[in-house]
Amino acid sequence: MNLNQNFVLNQIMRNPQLRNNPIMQNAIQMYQSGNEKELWELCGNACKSNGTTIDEIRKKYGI
Amino acid sequence: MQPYQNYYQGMYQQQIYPNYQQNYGNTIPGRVVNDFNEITANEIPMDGRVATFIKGDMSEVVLRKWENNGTISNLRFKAVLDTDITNPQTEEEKCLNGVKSGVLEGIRNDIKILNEKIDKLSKPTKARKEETNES
Repeated sequence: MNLNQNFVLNQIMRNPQLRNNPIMQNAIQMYQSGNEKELWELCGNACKSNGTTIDEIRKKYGI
Repeated sequence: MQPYQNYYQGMYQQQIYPNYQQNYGNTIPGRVVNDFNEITANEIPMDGRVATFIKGDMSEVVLRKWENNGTISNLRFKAVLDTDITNPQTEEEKCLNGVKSGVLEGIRNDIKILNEKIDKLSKPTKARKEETNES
């Protein structure tokens, strides 16, 4: 886990709204256990539920 | 690496998130909708609560909830019109009440007729012949 990733995780854990979010908790657990495939699936599902795609989000935020 | 870490910590340590207790009381997220297609994902809370959407004509109710895998579960309830709201009856109760009021009397009459026919048939054939000759 590099510094930026650690920083993002810390920020998430410090924000009670994100910390108490069951989807975020699940995502963090997947990330920490290295379950990359399921994490991508979760992201894809969340994007689809919001009427968008991972690629669109990447383009929008320049990731 | 170390200076960056200190920079980030210094910059964001001041950012304090209120450590509030989430207390929603008895409120239910959701609203009355004309069509379920108008519901957007951001109307469903991501804290595990279930959002309730009621159709304007009260014909259907939909419960939506974010699942842990990033999908939204959808549970739909359809209305059943019950005219007598003071004494709601189940289908079984309605059926029983129907039997009580009249139908039961009809069944009794049918049984009576059947009994008479059985009695006639169960009499010895000789007695039956005499009976028919007499008449």
